[in-house]
Amino acid sequence: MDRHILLAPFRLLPRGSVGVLVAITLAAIVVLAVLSALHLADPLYIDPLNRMKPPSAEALFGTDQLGRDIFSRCIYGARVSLFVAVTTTLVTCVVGGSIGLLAGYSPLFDLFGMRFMDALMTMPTILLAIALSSIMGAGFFVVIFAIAVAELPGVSRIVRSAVFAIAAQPYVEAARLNGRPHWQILVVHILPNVLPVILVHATFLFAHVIMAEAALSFLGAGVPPSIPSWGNMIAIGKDVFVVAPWTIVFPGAFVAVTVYVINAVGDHLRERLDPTLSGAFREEAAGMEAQA
Amino acid sequence: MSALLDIRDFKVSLGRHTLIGGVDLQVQPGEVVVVVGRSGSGKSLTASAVIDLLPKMLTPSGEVVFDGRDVTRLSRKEIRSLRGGDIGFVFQEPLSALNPLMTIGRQIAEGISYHRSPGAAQMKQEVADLLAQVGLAQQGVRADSYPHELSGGQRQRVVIAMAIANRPKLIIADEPTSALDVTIQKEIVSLLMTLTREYGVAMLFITHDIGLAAEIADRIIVMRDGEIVESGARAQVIENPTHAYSRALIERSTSLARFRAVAEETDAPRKTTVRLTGFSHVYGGRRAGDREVRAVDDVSFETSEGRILGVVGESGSGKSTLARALVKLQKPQYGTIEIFGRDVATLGRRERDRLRPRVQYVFQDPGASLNPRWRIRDIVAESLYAIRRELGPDEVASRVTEALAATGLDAAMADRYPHQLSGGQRQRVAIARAIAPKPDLLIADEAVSALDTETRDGVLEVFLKLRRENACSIVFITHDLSLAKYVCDDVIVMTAGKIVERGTTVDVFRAPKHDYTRALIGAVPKMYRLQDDDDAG
Repeated sequence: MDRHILLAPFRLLPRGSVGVLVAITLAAIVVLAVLSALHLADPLYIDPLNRMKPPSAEALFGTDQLGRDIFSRCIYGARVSLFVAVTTTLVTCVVGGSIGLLAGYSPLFDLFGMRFMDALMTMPTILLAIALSSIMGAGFFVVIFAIAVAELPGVSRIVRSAVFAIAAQPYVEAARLNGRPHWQILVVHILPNVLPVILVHATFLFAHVIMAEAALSFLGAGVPPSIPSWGNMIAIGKDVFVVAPWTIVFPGAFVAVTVYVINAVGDHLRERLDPTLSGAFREEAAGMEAQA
Repeated sequence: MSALLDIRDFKVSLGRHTLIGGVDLQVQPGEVVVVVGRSGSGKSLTASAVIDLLPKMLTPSGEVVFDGRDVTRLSRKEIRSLRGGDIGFVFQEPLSALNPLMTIGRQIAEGISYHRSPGAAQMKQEVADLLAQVGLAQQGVRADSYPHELSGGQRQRVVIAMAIANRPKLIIADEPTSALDVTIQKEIVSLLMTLTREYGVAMLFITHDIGLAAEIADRIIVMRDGEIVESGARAQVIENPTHAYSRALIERSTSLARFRAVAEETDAPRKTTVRLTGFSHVYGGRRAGDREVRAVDDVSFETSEGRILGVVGESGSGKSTLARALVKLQKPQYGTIEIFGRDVATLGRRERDRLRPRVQYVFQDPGASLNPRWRIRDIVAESLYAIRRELGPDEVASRVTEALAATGLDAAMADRYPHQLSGGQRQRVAIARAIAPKPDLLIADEAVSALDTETRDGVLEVFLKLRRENACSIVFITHDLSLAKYVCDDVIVMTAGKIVERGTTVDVFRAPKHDYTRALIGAVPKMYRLQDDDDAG
């Protein structure tokens, strides 16, 4: 039971009070996202009679200027934000990671690949999103695409640097000397060692994407206004902030807490997984634990 | 006279495991105490404890009293004033000890400024004086040089300058010369000794090399597995060791002699395995303004089946470039390389792949030559990649177990990861990987340099067995002369890319012709030279 595989993700969490906080928050987010499927108030139900009501028993987080229940909108918004964040992070890591992997290993690909990344970096995210949404209509695809384009170069660079360091290691040379073809070396030797780097970056990326999506929605270039997202909730809430602060405070709090938690996990993961930590003692400790 | 450093009943544990179990150690003012032990014996931990630099996850207990105060009970500020002040230290890796972005003058000055505040002119003078004291000024090294412009030995001198800058009472030196070439080692050690004698500074010197201890210590302490097994005056410990382990250490250091007998066994005519003619390798020089570096300069030699050829040289001599060229099986930049009678430049893809398992390489760094994410069994099987289809999965698995056993590793190790093994075990894995395909040519690049004597001897046995049973030709690259002397049949000595001496081991060591060879021989600690050595230095 001590080394059960299911407990593995939990061992990655930080120890102590931060870890508990992180664990609770993550659990809460997931639970809430799931709850949204159950009996919540309809987030789209417009009820002008009850507009801008402060938090009460019927509406836990109050209502916005159209009388919609903010609590349920926050929950539904969580789904949107999380979906966008997960998809974008996945796409960016897979595409950016592959490019970085190849660029770090093959000087030829490096030349072309990085120039392509340079081109991507010239595109301003927001303008891209606005332009795309005016052509294709606002929707998830636009948001994911625009944010991914913005984040791809960053990921590919980080992976590329990591690959430089790894490819210089003797064990890679040993593999080459023993006749392994290059593609195999990439997949079997280099990739496993690059994964921790990608993983850590992914957590930061995740937080970043949530904020980027919120910003895009805030500016109207994100998901269509009929679908609640934390970002567009804040966008419409800003007009009535002075008289009804709860319209911004709650969605804002959700964004802030989620971002913090993901960052904390990423920070901790980096410490745990960083292969360049020469901690001989950490290894010995790990080794001794394993032998215990 | 009360002790300058008094460690009483010092223990260190990691969770439930006891790393150090009760150490009592004293250093008198002006005394040189050498702690000898292999890696993992706890010697470095003890040294770190003196300046309160133990890793956070370890729990110490006991007293560490320096100059009347218990270090473990001092405030952060008080400890900081000790470090670099009354206690100076010199660690093993001079490259990591220096900030690559700051000039050495600034770094030395920084060390001084933490404890005292001389004026700018005074500081400059002090730095210049220190550089002279450690012999750098004489070598033309200036205060505005950067670490990367200096050699390993020079960097270590900078570290020593930082250690003595504030006239410490105690210097802690943890393997200060292990990363350096043997001729430089001698210089650095004698520099440390001169300085400590001159200023009456006590020294706590940590090493795995008992021969070195025999040369410099006033008192010797032998540690094993976190305990002190022997402690006493130098003469007494060396001549009359009481504990079996210390006796073994002393004997093992001189144990290489038994390899000589075995090395001289076979005598039949043999086929040439490697022949180099006019091989050179040049780095740089292709762009305008780029300096050319001749890593290897017009080298020619050959060796045959069942012979062990030693390539002796210090860092920068070109021996690693040479070694890599041999195993790459590619056309060299200049000259020709023939392996098993075939010029490698003429090899087709198929032939090269068939040749690969027969030519194997053992890397120097046991840590970096194993993929940290792979299990041991997969790492060892890597060398069988080219013939994996021929052998079939069962045979591959059994070869892996065989190879592991041959290097003295338990079959259970196969499921482990590199970080769960000690440095010595990792190197044995690297060697197991090299011997798994039963190679005809084995190139060992400093393969045993990182190992303690016990493990090293085990590995050398493996090589000799390979030679005996497979008529394997071994190219043994090392900077360690004593090793080459006893293990190799023939030897070539390299420096700055050229071969300066060659011949059978017996001939070269009996009558070295070149000055460099003589200097190398002279730098070996006396304890490792046996009676039958000629007086070469």
